[in-house]
This record gives sequence, structure tokens and C-alpha cells, in this order.
Amino acid sequence: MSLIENRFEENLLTTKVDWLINWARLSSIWPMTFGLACCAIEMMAVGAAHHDLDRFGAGAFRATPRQADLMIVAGTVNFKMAERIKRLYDQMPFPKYVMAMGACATGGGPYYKFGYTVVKGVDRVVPVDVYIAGCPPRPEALMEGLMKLQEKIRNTSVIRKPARTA
Amino acid sequence: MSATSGETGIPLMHFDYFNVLVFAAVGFVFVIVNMMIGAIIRPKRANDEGLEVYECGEPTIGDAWINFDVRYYTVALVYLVFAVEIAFLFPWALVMQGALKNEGPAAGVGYFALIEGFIFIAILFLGLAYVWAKGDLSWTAEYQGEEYHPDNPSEARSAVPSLSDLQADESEPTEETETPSDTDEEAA
Amino acid sequence: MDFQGIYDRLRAIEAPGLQGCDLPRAGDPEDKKDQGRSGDAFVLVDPAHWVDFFKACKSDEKLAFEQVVDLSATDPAKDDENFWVNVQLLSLRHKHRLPVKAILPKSVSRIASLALVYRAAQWHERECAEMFGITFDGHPDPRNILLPDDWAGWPLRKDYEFPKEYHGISCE
Repeated sequence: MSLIENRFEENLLTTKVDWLINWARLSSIWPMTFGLACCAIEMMAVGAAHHDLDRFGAGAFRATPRQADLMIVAGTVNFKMAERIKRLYDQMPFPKYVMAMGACATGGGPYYKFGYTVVKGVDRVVPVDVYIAGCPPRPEALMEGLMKLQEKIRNTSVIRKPARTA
Repeated sequence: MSATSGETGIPLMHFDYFNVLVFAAVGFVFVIVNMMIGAIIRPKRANDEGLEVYECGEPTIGDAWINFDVRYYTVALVYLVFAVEIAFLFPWALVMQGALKNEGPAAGVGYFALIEGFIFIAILFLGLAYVWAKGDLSWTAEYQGEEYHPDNPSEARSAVPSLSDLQADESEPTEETETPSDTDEEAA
Repeated sequence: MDFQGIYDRLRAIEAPGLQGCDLPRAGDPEDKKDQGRSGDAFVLVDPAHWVDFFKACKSDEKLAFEQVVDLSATDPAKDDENFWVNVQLLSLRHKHRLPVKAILPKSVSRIASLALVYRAAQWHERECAEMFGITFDGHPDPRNILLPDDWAGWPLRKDYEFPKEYHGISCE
């Protein structure tokens, strides 16, 4: 664990510092290009000019997991690919997030019943933060998913101790 | 203007490049501070799978430090020599006309510099000829040997039919050199 | 040439293994169960003379089928004991096509490979082999093409059971 992670009690200063760190992280989520199937077209559309993902700071799609924060699993996941997804997820540095885009990545999609090599949802392979429904989801839906992820990051406790649930 | 401290009048060193120093210092400090902030804030959770070599997700084969192709080095080296040559030739070419007429910045040098320049080009041209003849300028080596004629004709690959062969009329006899499909059986 | 012309030519050159042809037909109006057959006319070939038949198709000048467009297999629902191996041939020179079919008993499940006669058949045969379990004798590179290397079973058979899990990932 890092030097200051989750170390301090919650007070005005640590709240503000956490706000700053979270703001920096959510304004510059760099996705990794992981378009596997048709959802990749919608992801490209979101990254392009009309529905611009760069205004969220997330327009810099990195080809390598080493420089990426977010893995948008866009498309059908086969068993052959699942092994590679797991390995690439491991090679991403923390803090990392996964977004399951589309019906296939969320729960097997149209191949749920008869697809013998389709993994029924990428959350059987990697932990998923945001699910986006649709086949394929509209670009606006992907943007809303990104905004949900930003909301999740906004509420993260970085240097504060995590909130007690008991 | 020389920098002197205002009230006491003690003269400081005459320093023209103060802004360069500030620029360099800001750049240096900016990078260092950002890297240190990142090192303090980021979570450190390295695991063995994550530290593997990146190979697009495939199971890795070997290390990431591999030898690179020496042809890149050769190309860069040859380029460097000739770029320096051009860099030397530019001022020579600029003052040459004036020097021959005995006016301008290189007056008095005249034909001596002209001949000397040409000798310089000739020496480097010899180098170029050597590199060319050795084949270092071509990326792929071309086969220098004789054409291959297999002893057993059925082992030869059948010729790809040309467009005119494919468009030949049905009634005309074909001009293909292709032997009957035995060749395909042996060729694979 | 149309199908009849091709078939006549095949009979004229005595292509080995030629068993007959099947033309599409309308249903019998009096017999309600007979709905006829739609689709293309095809040529039936004996699997024992598989390669020789295709060599004849390729080398004959009037036929000149220099390309295999598709090679697939079928596990027919109405026939439990046989596979069908379907090949589509194309002649670029004469611009005609020919569907060819072989009825392969499941107890045998072996047929000669066309990969050395037609290069395009190589990948199609790999797919048939991994999906149906048909062995192609003489294939130069018999490994899985679409499925993972350690996949159990032959998915496109009618009696295929879906796996319960693969490498720790549940399939339910």
C-alpha cells in the first residue's frame, strides 16, 4: 500500500485533498482500446468528433495497458479472448476500472443460449465497475456510463480512511 | 544591461541568459515534483502477473530486451555521414561565387577552394560507391545465385496463369505452362 | 455452361466417383409430406474417389474449375448416420459454378483432403475437422482454426453437449 493511502481521518483538509485527487483522476481517464466486435464501432463513434469523448478528458485511447486507466470491453468475449483479457487487466496499473459495454460483455448477449465459446459476461473474468446495456449501446449511453464511472471515482476515498459501514 | 542590486549599488555579474536559467529550472522542477506527487499518491499493488512483459495479451515468450536489426544502424550511419557533408557544403556553396570574383566574405580563396570542395565531394563519393557496391543501401538482399531448376519437374511450382490466359477463349487451345494437377499435389 | 452442361461434361470425361445429381424439385401436390427440395442442383460424389474427381474437374478444359469457394460439412437433421461434405467450385475462366456433395457415414468420418489440390480448401477443412470431427487424410496442417486448442467435443454435431466450464470460467 502506498504511503498515504487510506491513512487519515476524515476532516476538512483530507476531504479537500481527496476531492482534488479524485478530480484529477476522473478528468483524465485514459481508456484502452479494447473493441472486440460491433460495440467497437460505437466506441469509435464516441471517440470521434460528434460525440466527443475528449471533452471528458477520456479521448486519449492508449493501445497499451501500461498507460491506460479504463478498459472498455466493447464486444463479445470468447474463451480464447478471455485469457488475454485477464492478462491485459493484470498488466494495467492501479487504479484501474473496467466498463462492460454492450449486451455481450454484460451477460453474453444474443449468444447466451447457443454460443458455446462465448463467455456469459466479462465479469466472469475481470471485475467490472460499470455495465452499459444496449446492442450496441448508443454513443450517448456510453457517455453516460463514463459519467457514472466518474461519479464512482468522485466518491472514492484516497487518503481518507474508507467509510465504515457497520 | 548589467544587473546591479538597486540600493547598495554592488555590481552583480553581467548575466544575459537569466531567463534561460529560469526556464530550465522550472522545467526540471515541474517534472520532478509531478513524479514525486505521483509516487506518493498512487497505490502500490504490484503482482507477478502484472509485471510480465506486455505481448498483446499472449503468453509471453522471452524478454522485452531484444536485439534490433543492424540495418537500422547502417542506414542511420550512412545518413549521418552525408548529412554532415551537406552541412559543410552549404557555406562553401554560398560564398563560392563571390570568392571566384574576389569579392565578398571569402575573397582571395578563389579556385583553390573550388578544387578543394570538389576533392571533398569526390572522397565522400568514393565512400558512397563502396557502400552501394557492398549492398548496404538496399533493405532486402537480392538473390545472386543461379535460377533454380529442380531435377524432378513435378516438384516445380506451377506457374500462376496470367490474366490473358484466364481470359482466353474456350475454343482456343490454352497457353498455360501449367502441368496437370500433379504439380499441386507435390508442391504443397 | 449451365448445370446440365456441366453434368453432361462430367459424364463425358468419366469423372471418377460420380454417383449422380440431385436437381431441385417442386413438392408432390398429392403427397402432403413431400415438400420438394429447393436450392441449387448439386452433384453427388463417392468419397472414395474424392481427390480424383476434383483433379478431373480442375484439369479438364471445358470445366476448368480452378477455385474452391467453400468447403463445409453438415450433420443433417433427417439423417442420423451420415455427414454431408459440401464443396462449391468456381471457374473464373468459364464463369460457372458447381456444388458437389459427398455423403460420408459417421462411422467412417474420414475423407481425403483437398488441400493439396485446391489451396483454398486448407482452412475450410480445418474448420470442418474441428467442428464435426471429420478427419481429412493428407491435410498438411491439421490444427484448430477457430476453437481453442484444448476444446473438447465437436460443436456443430447435432448431439453436442455444451461444456459446463472451461479453464475455470463457468459456462452456465
